[in-house]
Amino acid sequence: MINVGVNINALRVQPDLRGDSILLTQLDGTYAAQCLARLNDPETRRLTGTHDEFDLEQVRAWHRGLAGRDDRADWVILHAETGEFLGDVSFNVVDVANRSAQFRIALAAAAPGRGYGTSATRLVLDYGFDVVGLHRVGLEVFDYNPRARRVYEKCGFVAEGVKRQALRWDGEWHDVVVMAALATERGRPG
Amino acid sequence: MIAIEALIVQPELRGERVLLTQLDGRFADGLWSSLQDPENIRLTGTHQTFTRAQIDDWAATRPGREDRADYALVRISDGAFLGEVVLNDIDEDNDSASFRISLAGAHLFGLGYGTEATRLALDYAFDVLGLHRVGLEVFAHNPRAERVYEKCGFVREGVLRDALRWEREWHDVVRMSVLVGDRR
Repeated sequence: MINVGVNINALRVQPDLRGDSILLTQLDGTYAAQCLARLNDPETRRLTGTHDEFDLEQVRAWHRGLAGRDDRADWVILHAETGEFLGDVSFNVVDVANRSAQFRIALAAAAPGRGYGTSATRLVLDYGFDVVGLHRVGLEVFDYNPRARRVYEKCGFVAEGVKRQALRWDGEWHDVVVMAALATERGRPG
Repeated sequence: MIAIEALIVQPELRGERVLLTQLDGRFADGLWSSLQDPENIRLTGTHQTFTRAQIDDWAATRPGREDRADYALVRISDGAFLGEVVLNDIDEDNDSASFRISLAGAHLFGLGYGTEATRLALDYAFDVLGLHRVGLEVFAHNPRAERVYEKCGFVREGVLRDALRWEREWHDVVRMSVLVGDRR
């Protein structure tokens, strides 16, 4: 496959991405309440290392500004049949010159363990490599979240290193694992 | 807790041969010429191009910031501008920051200025600001810089594969860090 560059338009206007049981659609102001519940859930906060506190207006204002941006892509993850809010997933920090992006995903409290994370990660990676034209997608995951790490490995991410004591949580230091998936390694068994 | 006041008003850091002082408009000329140096551009992986007005503005707006520290590296004997030394991405929740240094031209390499400046910056980061961790990225094609960082206490933590695109080729990026308790 020859990639000549990043397709900025594919970041600016993101299509819906459909998986077996999930639908990914542009994150906008309509999901602020659900995202706030996720942001305030203690376990989700721990797994995402979220120190900041947010209120509904802040979340809504942030979400409203996301559509149309060409330096990131943000989707809400919905159940395809019920429309249940399952979480959100993003390419933040898109680096056009190096054709790379950072990936992050956060699931709502009831969502983990049902395969939605794996499904959403695969959809977004496919989009990043095949449509946006990325060469590299990186992420960070905390040492106390081996379940997420397994999901990422299944989807093709490889551990590249460990940032020592890069996170402080509940007064303790934790390591942060750095992982990445490359376009040139697609199709390898995960 | 990070000593934010020491970011807003950065103390001068004095070594034997070099002085680190607040980067500001006085150093715009030096910054501008170091950005024209092809070797410097390659070693810092700078894809962006800047106008002179952008650099003037950048230099003039460095003082007083509480989210980063920008130092000019100056030779004590003659006041020559040798480069810049930066702590950015200050993370107050995790007491961490990123470090970068760039010397103002290849004629300054190998003379020990980078080592002395890095050590001064780390002393400031840990002893004055109260940071726990300082991280950096260095390109795999810059082993000389990696050697300097190791000498100053940085430890290799991983390799980001193909993280830099340069002259139509992919290059790896080495991640390093030093923690407050590490031997320096």
